[in-house]
Formats: sequence, structure tokens, C-alpha cells
Amino acid sequence: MRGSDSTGQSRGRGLVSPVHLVMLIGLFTALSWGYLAPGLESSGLAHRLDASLVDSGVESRVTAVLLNFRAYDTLLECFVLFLGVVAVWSLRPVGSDRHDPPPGLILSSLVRLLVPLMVLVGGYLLWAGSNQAGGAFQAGAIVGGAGVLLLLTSSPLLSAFPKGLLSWGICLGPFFFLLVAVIALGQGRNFMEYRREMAAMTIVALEAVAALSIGLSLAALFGGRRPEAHQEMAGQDEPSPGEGEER
Amino acid sequence: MISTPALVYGLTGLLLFVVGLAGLISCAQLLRKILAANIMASGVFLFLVTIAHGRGIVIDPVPHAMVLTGIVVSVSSTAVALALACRVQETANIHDLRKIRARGDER
Amino acid sequence: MVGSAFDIILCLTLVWLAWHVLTSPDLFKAVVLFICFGLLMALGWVRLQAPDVALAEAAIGSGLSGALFLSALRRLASVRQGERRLDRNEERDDEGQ
Repeated sequence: MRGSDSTGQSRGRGLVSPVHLVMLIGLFTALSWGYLAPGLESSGLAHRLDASLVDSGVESRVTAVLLNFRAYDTLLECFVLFLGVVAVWSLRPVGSDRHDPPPGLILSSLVRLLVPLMVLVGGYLLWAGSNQAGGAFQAGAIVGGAGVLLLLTSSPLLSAFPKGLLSWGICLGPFFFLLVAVIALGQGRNFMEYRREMAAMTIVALEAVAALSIGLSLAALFGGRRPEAHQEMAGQDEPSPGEGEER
Repeated sequence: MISTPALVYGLTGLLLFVVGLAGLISCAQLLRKILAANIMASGVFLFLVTIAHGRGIVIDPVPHAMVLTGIVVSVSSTAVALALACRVQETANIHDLRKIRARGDER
Repeated sequence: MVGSAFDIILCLTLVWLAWHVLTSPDLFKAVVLFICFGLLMALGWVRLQAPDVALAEAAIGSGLSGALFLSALRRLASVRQGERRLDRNEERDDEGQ
């Protein structure tokens, strides 16, 4: 592996200067020495996690970590996504810059067919997340992908979606999370600590809201600018079926 | 000591990190720098998941969850970086653009 | 044994792709190679028994990032078109990338 690095870099049309090359090879050697050196064995947190999995409300270990044991990670991640949308929107004026010709019959009917299916798959992934692979992120990504598809084909479905709901939908995820966390704090528990009998329900609700919000945010990131409320075809958001499915 | 997949994927993760770093410091085009940062992030993710896989019999899901969060964070930071890069290209004057592109074409 | 060979080939391909993302002269090609890189990365996650990460990587890391990069590429290309319109009298034969 190290050989492919050095030979690749030396024949790479001078991508890096020799000094940089030496430093990078040194960095790689140091890192791999640190990784391969004995004495770094640790059992990780798997055993402690398995011991308290029954309390978490879900069977999937990754979902339990994401939405219960380390739920503040997901909370902050939702806020990062929210801030990302705010930053992207603030860099360009409100409006729309897509003047593509309308897609052909085949493409528009394919999108018409695919988008509900993608929303359905997103819903399935959300539901499957409690005991196998899947969860809010994956569902949100699929919903976001459906939004990207609609944006790319400038589908007429977009104009059916009320533009005001987009901002609200994006805000909903992080602030709903925060609300749940603060309510737990107000009832004398720790930050983001759910009541044990309510844990499963809380996680499902949080996941559904987070998936919807993540999907809207990803589609908005792709759209790149805030849609104008009055203009036709100016949207960069989800169709109304996305809403109905996720709620 | 370390199983074969852990060895292979761990070293690949480190190598991707180093290759991405090389691209980040030496590519002139902004888009290429963002690609390089993404490759670096992939290397870090690969390394984290390999650690979760390689040590111990039970797979540790905590790094998996961190990587999942990291993927979403990296896509949103990529989007912001791309918006900034486009903004730079749009607002820089012709002279600056020509300079940027001349530097980019050398590579 | 077969598994190890697969791992090694996959890793070599990943490093090769990463290298070409950074060195290919055509930015569009680099972005497409990056999308391939993300998809192969998803295969690697499956090999490391992380199906959650594989799903997320395939959908977000490869699909959405790729779409973002491609749309940014198009925006940058349109900026260059505008630039070409501004100084059309000057000779330019390396436009449009």
C-alpha cells in the first residue's frame, strides 16, 4: 500500500513537491505505526451497550446509539444541517435560476413513477431502523434524493407544494429535537433522557420528524437558493406525498 | 493481533487521508480542493469503522453511529463549501479569475 | 481467502480512484470518479459489516454529494461562459471545463 502511494505521487505530474511528498510519506508512516503498534487494544463500548440495550426502546444497536445514548450527536447534526441550509441560502438571492426546457414524456412519467416509490422506500427504511439497518438518516437521504430528482426535472409537482412549508419543515427537525431534550430537562431527568416506558414512541417520533427535516434540508442544499414564494416552478422542496408518508 | 480486513482497510483509510491531504494542499482549483477534503473524510470514516470491526469479537456500534453523523455533516459542509466556491467565481473580477484558472491549468 | 483477495482489490481500487480524482485534468471526469469512489466505499462498508453506513454512504455520500458537485460544476461553467462573453475578442480555446 505504501509503495502505491509513493510511486503514484512521484509519477503524478508533479502534484506535490518533493518536500511535501517526504512529509506526507512520513505522516503516513507515523499514522500506520500508531495503528499497528501493539498496546492499543480496547474492547470498545459494545459490551456496555449490549447490557443497556433493553432500556433504549429499540433493538437496532446503531439506532439506539444515535437516538438514545448519544442523541445529542444527532441533535447537533440536525443543527449543522440547518445552519448549512441557512448559509447556502444566504449566499444567493431568492429566486430560481433553472431555465431548462421541460423534460420529455418518458422522463417526466418516470419521475412521476419513481418519486412516490422513493418516498415509500424512505418510509420503509425509517420503520426498519428499529431492528435492522436503516433509520432516520437513510430515510432522509432517500427523501432528499426524491427532492433532487424533482428539482432536476423541474417537475410541475414542485409548484403544488406550498413554499412557506419548506422553511418550517427544515426548522422542524432541530427544534423538535431541542424541545424533547428540554422537556426531559424540565421533568428532572438528564438532557435528552427519555422516560423509559415512552422511549420507543419518542424515538419513532423523533426519527420521523428528523427524516422529513433531513430530506427537506438536503433537497434545499441541492436547490442552492431560497425559492420565491409567488413564482411558479421556483421551488426546491418535496412534493406533498413526502409529507403525508413521513408523518 | 489484527485481522486481515482490519489491516487492509485500516491502512487504506490512512492512505486515503494522506492522498486527500496531498490534494488539499497542492490542487489549485477550489472544486478539486473540496473533492480532496471529501476523500480525506472518507479515509477517516473508513479508519473509524475499521477500528470498530477489528478490535474485539463484538462489533462496536458507537463508531458506526459517529460515521453516520459524520457523513451527513460532511455533505452539508460540502454544500456550503461549493456555494462559497461558486460565489468566489461569480464575484471575483476577470483578472482574478484568469489568475485562478491559470494556476489551475498548470496542474 | 477469496474475501481477503476481494478486500485487497477493493482497497487498491479505492486508492487508485482517489488518486485519479485528484489528478485527472478534466474536472467533470474527476467528479464522476468521485461518485464511483463513493459507491465502492459503500461496498467496503458492507465488507466491514456496517450496513447502516453503507446505506447512508450510497445515498448521501455518493448520490447527493455527486449531484451537488455536478450542479456546482455547471454553475462554474456558466460563470466561464459569461466571462467569455465579456472578453470575446480575446482568443480562448481552452474554455468550457
